[in-house]
Amino acid sequence: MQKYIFNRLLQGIVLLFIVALIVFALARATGNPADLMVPEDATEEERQFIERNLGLDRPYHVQLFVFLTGAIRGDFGDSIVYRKPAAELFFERLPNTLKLLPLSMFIAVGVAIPLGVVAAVKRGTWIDQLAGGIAVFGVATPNFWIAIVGIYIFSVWLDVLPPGRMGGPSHYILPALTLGTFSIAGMMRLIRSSMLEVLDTEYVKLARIKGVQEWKVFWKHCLRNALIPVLTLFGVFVGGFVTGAIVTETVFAWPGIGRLTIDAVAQRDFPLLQAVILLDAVIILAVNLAVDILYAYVNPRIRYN
Amino acid sequence: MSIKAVWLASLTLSLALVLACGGAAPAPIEVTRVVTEQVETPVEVTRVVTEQVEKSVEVTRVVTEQVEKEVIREVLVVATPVPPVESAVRAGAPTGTLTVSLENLGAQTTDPILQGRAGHAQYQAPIWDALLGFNYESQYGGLGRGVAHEWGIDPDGSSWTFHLEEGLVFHNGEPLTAEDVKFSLERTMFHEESVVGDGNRLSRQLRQPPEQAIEVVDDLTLRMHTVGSKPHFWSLLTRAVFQGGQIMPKDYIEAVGDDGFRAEPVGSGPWMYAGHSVGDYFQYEAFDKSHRGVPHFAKMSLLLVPEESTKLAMVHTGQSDIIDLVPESAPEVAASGAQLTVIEGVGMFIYQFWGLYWPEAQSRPVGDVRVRQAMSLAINRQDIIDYTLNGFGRPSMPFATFPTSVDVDVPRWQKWGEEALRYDPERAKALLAEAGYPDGFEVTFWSTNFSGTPYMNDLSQAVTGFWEEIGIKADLRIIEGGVFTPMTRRPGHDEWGEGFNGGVSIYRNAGRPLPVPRYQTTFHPDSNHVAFGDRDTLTPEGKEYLRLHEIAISERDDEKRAAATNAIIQLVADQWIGVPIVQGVSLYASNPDTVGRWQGIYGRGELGDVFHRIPHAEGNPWQ
Amino acid sequence: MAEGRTNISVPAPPETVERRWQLKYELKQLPWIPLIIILIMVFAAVLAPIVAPHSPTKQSLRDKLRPPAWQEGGQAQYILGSDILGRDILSRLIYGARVSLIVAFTALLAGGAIGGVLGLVSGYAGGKVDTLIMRAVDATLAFPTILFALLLAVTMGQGLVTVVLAVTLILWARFARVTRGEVLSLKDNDYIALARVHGCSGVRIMFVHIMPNVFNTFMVMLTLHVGLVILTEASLSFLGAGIPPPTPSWGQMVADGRAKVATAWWISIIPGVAITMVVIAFNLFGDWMRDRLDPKLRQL
Repeated sequence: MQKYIFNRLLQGIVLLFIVALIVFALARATGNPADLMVPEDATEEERQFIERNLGLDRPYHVQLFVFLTGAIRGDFGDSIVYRKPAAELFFERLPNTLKLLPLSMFIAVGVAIPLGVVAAVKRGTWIDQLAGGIAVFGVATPNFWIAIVGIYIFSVWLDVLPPGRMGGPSHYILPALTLGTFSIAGMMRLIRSSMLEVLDTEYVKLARIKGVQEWKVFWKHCLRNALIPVLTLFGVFVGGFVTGAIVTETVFAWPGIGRLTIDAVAQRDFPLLQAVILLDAVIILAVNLAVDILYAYVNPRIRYN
Repeated sequence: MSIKAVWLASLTLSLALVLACGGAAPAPIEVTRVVTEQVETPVEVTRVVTEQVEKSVEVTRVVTEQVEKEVIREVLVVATPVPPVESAVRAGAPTGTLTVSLENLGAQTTDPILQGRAGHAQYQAPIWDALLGFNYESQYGGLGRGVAHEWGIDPDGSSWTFHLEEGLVFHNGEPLTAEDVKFSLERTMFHEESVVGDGNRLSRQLRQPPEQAIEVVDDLTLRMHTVGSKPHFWSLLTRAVFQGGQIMPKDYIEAVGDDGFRAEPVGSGPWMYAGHSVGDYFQYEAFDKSHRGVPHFAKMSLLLVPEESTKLAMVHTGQSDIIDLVPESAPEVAASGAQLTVIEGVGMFIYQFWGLYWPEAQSRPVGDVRVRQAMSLAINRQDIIDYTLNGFGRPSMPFATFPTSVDVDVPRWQKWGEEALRYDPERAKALLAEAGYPDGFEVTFWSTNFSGTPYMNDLSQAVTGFWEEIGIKADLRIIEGGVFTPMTRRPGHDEWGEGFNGGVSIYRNAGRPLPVPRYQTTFHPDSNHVAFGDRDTLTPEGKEYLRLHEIAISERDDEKRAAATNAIIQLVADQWIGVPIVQGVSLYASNPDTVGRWQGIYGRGELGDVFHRIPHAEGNPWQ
Repeated sequence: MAEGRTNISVPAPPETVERRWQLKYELKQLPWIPLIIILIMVFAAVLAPIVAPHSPTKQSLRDKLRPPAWQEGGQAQYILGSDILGRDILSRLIYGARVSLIVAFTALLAGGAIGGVLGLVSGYAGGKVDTLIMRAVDATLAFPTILFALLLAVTMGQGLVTVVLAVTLILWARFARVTRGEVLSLKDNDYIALARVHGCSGVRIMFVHIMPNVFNTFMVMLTLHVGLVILTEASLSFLGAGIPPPTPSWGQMVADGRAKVATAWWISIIPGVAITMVVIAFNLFGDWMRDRLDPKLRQL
C-alpha cells in the first residue's frame, strides 16, 4: 500500500512538472507581459525598466528555473492587474468556490442516486427511460444556458431567489444547481450499472429469498455496495466542477477562482493565469490521488493491477 | 433504454421551457421607431472655462406599439440634458446603506498610485481627494475646487501657485497641509510601483531637480515650478482629465509604511474605507468632515458584477440600489420599473487607421485620403445612435472634442460634425470610384470589448456592416482587451506586418475637457500611436502638427493657443485617420424605492465623485 | 393475395424471411428522432447558403429585435426573429450549425487519429513507451478542459483554429486511453500470436490485425464525443474565447442575448434549445451505436 501511494505521488509530481512546462511555454509564446504593466503613455526606458524588474530580459532557461523554484515555494509572482501575489489572490478566492461544492455535490448526488437506483430496479420500464432522459437532458444542456434561464425564471419572473453574488443560503441555490446538473448523468449511469451488478449477486438473491423487505434489500444491501465505484466519480466531479465554476461564477458574479480565471484571461494577466492553472491542476490531482488511495483501501484488488 | 421515450421526455421538457419563456416574457417592445419630428432647442449656458452657446438636440420619437410608448418616451425624456438639480434635502445624519453594482472595479487596490486609469478608479475616488476637483454647480461639469480652492499661473509664467482649503482633515483626524500635497505628488511621480501616467507627465513638466520643483510656501500654499510656460499644467492634478493629484497623508504613510497604508488606507474624501475583497466588493462609511460634503447614506458597498443580466436582475429584485448598464438594456430597465440616469459627454467612439506613414501603406486603398473619407460617409451615424445605442448616443464633434473642451471653437466644430460626419453613401461610392476602387476592397478591423463599454463589438459590427454596403469588406477581428491595448503601442508596430499596421481599429476617447493631450497620444511623433509617424518617418502633416502642438501646449496668449488648437483639430479632421463615430453616454439604473433622483458630472462616466451626492428616495423623489 | 401466392408457390427460403424481418426490426430499432435531428443539422450545415433565408452576418439595424413570426409584431421575413443588430436568427442558427459541425468533425478526426495511433502504439509496445504516453494522457486529463482552451485562446488569439486545436488537445487523451485498453485486451489473442509467428512486423500487426478490431470502439467513441465538442465550443464562445463574431456560433448567440431574456427571449433561448437538442441527439445516437457495436463500453 505504501509503495502504491508513493508511486502515485511520484506520478503526480511528474504530471505537475509537465503542466508547469506547458503553462510556462504558452505564457512566453506570445507577447511580453511587460507591455501590459507599463502605463499607456510609457516611454521605452520605462518599459525596459519593468522588464528588468520582472526578469524578462533573462534567457528562457533561467526564467524557467526561476519560475519553477518560485512555484515550489508557492511564489508565482505578482498579478499584473491586482498588484498582489498571484497565489494569495488564488487562495483568497478558493474558499468561495469551495463553498459551492457541498451543495452542488448534494444536488448531483441527491438526484443521481435515486434516479440510478430506480432506473436499475425498474430496469427496462418507462421509469428507467424517464430517468435516463432526465440525466441526458442534464448533460446536454449548456450550464451557462441553465444559469441564464434560471436567473430569469427564479429571480426576475418568480422573484424567489437572488440572481447573483455571495450572500445568505438562498444565494447558493442557483449556482449550485447550475454546477450540479452536469454531473448528474454520469453519476446516474454509473449508479445504475453498479446497482444492476449488485442486484445480480448471490447475497442479494439470498436476502430476497430470506424474505427481507424489498426496500431494505435495495437501500441496505445493494446501494451500499453499489456506491463504492461512485467514489471514483468524485475525482471526475471535482475536475468538472473547476471547469463549470468558470462559467457559473461569471454569470452569477461569484467571487471564486472561476471568475479569477476569466479575469486573468481577459486582462492577459499571465502570472495570475499561471498560478490559477497550476494550482487548479494541483487540486484536481490531489483529489484524484486521494480518491484512488481511498478506493484502493476499499477495494484491495485495484492495488495489484 | 428505449431511445424514443428518452427523446420524447427531453423534447417535451425543452419545448415546455421555450413556451414558458416565450409566454412569460412581457410582450416584446417594438423597437422600430419612426422619427417624426426633430426639434432643435438652443439652450444658453454658462460654462466655467469659456462661455459657449450649447445646442442640445431633443429627439422625440414615436413608438409604433401603443403599450410601450410611455415607457420608451419616459426613457428618452430622462436622456435629454436636464437643468442642474439643487442638492437634495438632507435629513440629518447619514443613514442606511447604498449598494451599487458595477461592471468594472479596476485594479481594486487600496493605494492611489497603483491605479492608473481614472475611469477605473471610481472605487478610489470616494476615499481620496484630488488637488483640483469638479464643478458640481454647473450643468456642464468642468473643473472645480478640490483640496485647493484657488489656483493659477504666476505672472512670470514659469510657476503655478495653489492655495489649499483651510481646515481639511484626513480620516484619521490629521490636518491636510501643503506638505501632504508635496509628498503625494512626489510619491505618484517617483514611487517605483506607481502606474499613474500623470505622475510621469508631471515629472516631465516640472523643473529639475524635482525636490525643489514643488515648493511648500506655507501650510496652505504651494508653488510648482514648470519647465517653461505650461498653461495646461492644472490638467495633471485632477481626475477631470486623467488620474492625477490624489492627496495622501504624509505622516501616516511614513509612520505605517506602504503596506500599512494599503491595509488601512486613509484619505480625505467623503467616504472612509471600511474593507474590500478583490473581485467582489469595496465597503465604505460616511466621513462627516469632507469638503465635498457629507454623504446621504451612512454606508456604501460597491459590488463588482460584470454580468449584465445579473446586474439587471439585481436592481429588479432590490439586491442593488444602483447599477450601470449598456444602452441595449434600457428597455429591460424600463420594464422593471427602475429609473434611468444618463450622464452626457462621457466619451467618443473612434475608429482609427494604423501605420499609414509606412511606405507600404501608400499602395493600400486606405492610404488614400479619399477612401478614408468615403468610409466615413458610408456610416449612418443616426442609425447607430437610434438602433445600436437605443437612442443613447449623441452626434459627434471632431476627434476628442466635446462641448466642454477648452481652447476649442465649439459651434464651429458642431457645425463641422453635422456636415462632415453625414451619411452620404452616394458620395462615398463616388469617392471610392475616384480613388480607383469602385468595387471596394478588403481591410482588417480590430475590435475589443473594453471594460466599461461591453457593447463596443456591437458598434464595430454596425460600422463594418455599413462599409459592406459600399463594397468594403472588413475582416472583423475581435481580441481581448489585454491584447488590444499593447497592440496600440509603438513597440508593437516596429515592422510593417506587425500590430494593427495597415488596418483599422475601434476604441474610445474619454470625455476630457482638454483635447491637446489626447491628440498628443495619437499624433505626436514621440507618442504611442504615432499616427503621423515617429521622428524619422514623420509625414508632412505630422511636421505641421508638431509645430502647432508646441504652440498649443506652451503659448500663454489664450487666442493664439486656441487658434493653434483649432488648427490641429482641422488638420486631423481632414486626414480622416482618427474618425469619430458617435459620442457616447453613461447609463445607470436606480431603484426608485431606495434612491432619489441624482445627477452625474458631465463628461465623467463613472461615479467616484458623485456617490456622496446620491440621496435617499424620500430626499429627492423621481416624480 | 400476394401473401397467399407466396405461400402456395415456391416457399421463400427461411433466411430471406428472417432477414426481411430482421431488417424491419432493425429499422424499427433505429433511433429515428435523434437521427432525424442529426440529419437536419448536417443538411442545414452543408446546404447553409441555399437553405438560409438571409446572410448570417448581414445586419439591418432598423429591423433589430423582431420577435419570431408567430409572436405579436413578428414578421414572416424573420421566422425566428432577429437579434440586436437586426440579423436573422434562423440564418445564424443554420450557419452556426456549420461552425459547430466543422469544429466537431475536424477536432474529432484529428483528436481521434492522434489518440488512436498513440493508443495503438502504447498498448502494443508496452514498457517505457506505454508509460510515457499514458503519463502524457494523465497530464492532459488532469487539465480542466475549458482552462486549456482559454489558455490557448489567450496565447494564440481567438478563432476556429484555436478552438479546434484546444478541443483536439483534450480529445486525443481520451481516445488514446480507450484504444490502449482495447489493444491490451486484443493483444493476447491467438491470431495475433499467429501473425507474429508468421513474421509480421509490429507495425503491420498494429495496423492490419489490431486496428480493424478497434474500429467499432473508435466509432462509438467518436459519436459519443460529438456532443461534448459542441458543448465545449459553445461554452468557449459564450465566454468570449471561442469563435469570434460576426461568424455565428450557437454559444455566442446565447451570450449575445443573455441580458435580454426578459424582453427578447428568442435571441438566447432558441440557440440554447438547439444546442440541447443536438447534443441529446448525438448522445442518444452514440448510445445506440455503443449498444449495437460495442456493449463493453457501457460505462463510458
